[in-house]
Amino acid sequence: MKMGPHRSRRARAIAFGLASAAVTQVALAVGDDPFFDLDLKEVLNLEITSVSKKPQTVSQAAAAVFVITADDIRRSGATTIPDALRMAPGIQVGQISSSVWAVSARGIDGRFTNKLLVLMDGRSVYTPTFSGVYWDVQDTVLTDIERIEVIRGPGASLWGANAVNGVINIITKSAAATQDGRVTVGAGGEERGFASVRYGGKLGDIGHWRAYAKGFDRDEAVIAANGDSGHDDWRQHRMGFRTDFAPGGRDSVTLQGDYYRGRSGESSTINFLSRPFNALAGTTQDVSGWNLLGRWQREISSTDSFTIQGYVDHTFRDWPAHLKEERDTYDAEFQYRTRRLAGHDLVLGTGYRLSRDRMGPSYAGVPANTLQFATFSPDSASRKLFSAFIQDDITLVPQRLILTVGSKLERNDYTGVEHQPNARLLWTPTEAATVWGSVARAVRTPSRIDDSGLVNQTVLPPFSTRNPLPLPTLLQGAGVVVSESLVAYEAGWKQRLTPTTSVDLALYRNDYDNLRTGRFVSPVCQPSGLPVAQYCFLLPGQTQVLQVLQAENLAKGRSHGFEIAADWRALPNLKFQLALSQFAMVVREEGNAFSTDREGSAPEQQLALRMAWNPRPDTDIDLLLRHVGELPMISEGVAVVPAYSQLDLRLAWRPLKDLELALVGRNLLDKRHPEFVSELLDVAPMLIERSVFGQVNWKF
Amino acid sequence: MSRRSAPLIPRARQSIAVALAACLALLAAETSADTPQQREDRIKAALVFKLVKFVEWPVTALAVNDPLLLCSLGDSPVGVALAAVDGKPARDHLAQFRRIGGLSLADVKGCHVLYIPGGAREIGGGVPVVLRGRSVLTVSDAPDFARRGGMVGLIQGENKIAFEINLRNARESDLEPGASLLELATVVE
Repeated sequence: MKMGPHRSRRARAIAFGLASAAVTQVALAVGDDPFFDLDLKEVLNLEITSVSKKPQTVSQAAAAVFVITADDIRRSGATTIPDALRMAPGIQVGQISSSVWAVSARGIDGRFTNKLLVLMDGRSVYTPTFSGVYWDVQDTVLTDIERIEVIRGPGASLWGANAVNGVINIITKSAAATQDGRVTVGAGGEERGFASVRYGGKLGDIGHWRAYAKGFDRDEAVIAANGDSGHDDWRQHRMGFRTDFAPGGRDSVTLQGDYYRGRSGESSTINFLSRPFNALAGTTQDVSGWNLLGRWQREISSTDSFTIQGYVDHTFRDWPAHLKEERDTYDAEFQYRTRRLAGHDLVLGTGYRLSRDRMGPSYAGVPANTLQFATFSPDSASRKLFSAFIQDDITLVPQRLILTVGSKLERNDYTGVEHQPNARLLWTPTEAATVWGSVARAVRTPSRIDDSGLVNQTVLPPFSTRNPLPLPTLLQGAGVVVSESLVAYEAGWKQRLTPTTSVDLALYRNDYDNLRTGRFVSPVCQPSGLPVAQYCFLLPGQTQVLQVLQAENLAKGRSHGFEIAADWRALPNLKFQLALSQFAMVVREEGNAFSTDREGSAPEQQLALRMAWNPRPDTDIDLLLRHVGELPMISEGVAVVPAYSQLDLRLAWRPLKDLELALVGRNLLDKRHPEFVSELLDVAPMLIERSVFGQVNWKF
Repeated sequence: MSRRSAPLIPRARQSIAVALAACLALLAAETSADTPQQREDRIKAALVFKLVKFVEWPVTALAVNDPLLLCSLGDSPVGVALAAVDGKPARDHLAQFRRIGGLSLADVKGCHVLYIPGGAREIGGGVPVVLRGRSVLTVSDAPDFARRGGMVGLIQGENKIAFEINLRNARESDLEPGASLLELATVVE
């Protein structure tokens, strides 16, 4: 029996495909790849990765990078971005209440953590109010996320100030890749209900569009002290669009925007300067915002290209007992890349950002004499940021050794010019191995609260344990700080051990200088301003004692650790992934100052083990086992959070090609457990509850 | 065994094989995390396939009802990705995929498009003369491929894959890249 030439070719192609799929891990390629259905212009516009502002594959990057793919997100069952980040090594995620997370890289975690830069499609989403991220408003349709690049270690030489401990880059799919319709609905215990719809189409011959709308309603968590409901239920809806054009083969233009509005509750520990001094109040926070971003990329020649990007971002937050803030950010960036010089891959860029805010008190739902946690003077400010960067990849030995040197210069309104250089060496001894090392400097520039804010942390009632005086004592953080700086030494090794196993190891040592501290200065009576040492509290007319915590930069810190990410495809349909993080930190303060960056705010050990199994082609079984070590001390006076282990499970079944039914269980090992406590003590410690929900995904 | 019944069995086997391959592929696709490297390979494979639409082959090389044969040298990830084009329509033809083991005349016979992985030993000293003038569109991600005797070089652009075309090399082999293709490419000498 002899097969015809046609058939034998076909059979060989199939056999080849099968063998390769089983052996080489490029399994996705043999599927019916949607890329083949795109037209040529669209293929040319597909992005590879954006790790270093220029094309580099992760295995080629001289940095500790972990990529969370669209598939990882889908299979994790995550309904929020912070939950999706839990699978990445070196990232600490602790939930404070239903809508609030502490997220950080390589330690120094907190609700107001300030050393992590987060970008969404090139738009910086950290807030200049405190240099942190309001995670409750960073969202999109999760299935439209193409990937999340998690870069541990400083990225300041490219991305600028605040990319101190890491950069999280959330990248959504191009409009061309989201051309179908998709509806997701779900409901369950903690997830009372959520729904999203997305639809995409063509814009003539030159481009594509998509639009989405989503909304959710989440249940409240539990107050740790008394088991009462935490009043932190959370509702939000948002909508947005993205269009991608390729008017000529050399140009690609993206225009995208989002609008959102939400409401979340919180069990605030509010303070008064009169009786009852402290109280627990269920408050409701209103947020809204919109943003619009445009980007134009042009290939000038095979060696040269440029990108121009601009965006406008408006945010509003009415946060009872904390602050009411409105902010407008205008950002423009230009970037040029050339490989005209042999052996050099040069990228340089410049940027300008203007951020204008209006701050005020928020008394929504709380008594009018509630002390605001944050007050600002002046209550409105415009802050400008100019930046310029240059980075060169110099090929020392073709295909083997690349040296990267670069720096970013930034001029901010608080500290003037900041210099953030780095040097990286990448060695690829074989195709399967990469060894890298780097030295980099990064700074955390002061934020609005550091520069012109007062933090009213708490009121100690008269004659209480910590206050023997007959007047209430207000603990207030005040003072001006300078930039905190970091010099980081990193090394890494990425190795494909066998066609089905690979391992990625990263080591680091971080030397911090000028860390922000607080120091108790002599208390004074108000309104007289006389020192307590002179018994001012006995004078008539005195209403309170002011105990200022002088904000300064009187601490140094040193941390070190390692992260291991390992992948093992045991069978074509069974994959294991391990992420292990080890971290240690020592902070040394001068005199009686204490650091606001507590070494005990992040666990020394963290482990995540994932299993992705397809017992049948139409069935997914996913498991995520996490262990998070103890948090010895999140901030002064905040209790220990014990170590915990949790299990997330997702079962999905596709009865039809376009229909998926999923059942997700999160935090299955406990009915409820503590994860994190706000370091400002502004929220009652909460317990995060087990959550089980069902979900239907339909493509049309 | 009669000639008439013979094809039935292979055909049945073939469809089982195809079904099996499809199942496995689906399974693999579902469990696979698409790393940037894999993504890059998929983009390259898609690009190789899409080029076909814009190139004119002489009728002597590609007659009206002929299948269009895409060949790939060795076992490269791009080649594996490209294998999936087998059976897809490509303009007025049906695409077929073939893995070839070398660049000898016998190996490349019948190929319309030939993908050569960048690191292939076979092109260490440039594109073999045997490929010249044979109406085979040579594509590779080897550095400077289009300047070293090849026709289409895949290069990395700004976070994307771009390509270079050597018009002279293509025309010497009686291949005519369309104007809209040249618009999207960098033309090199």
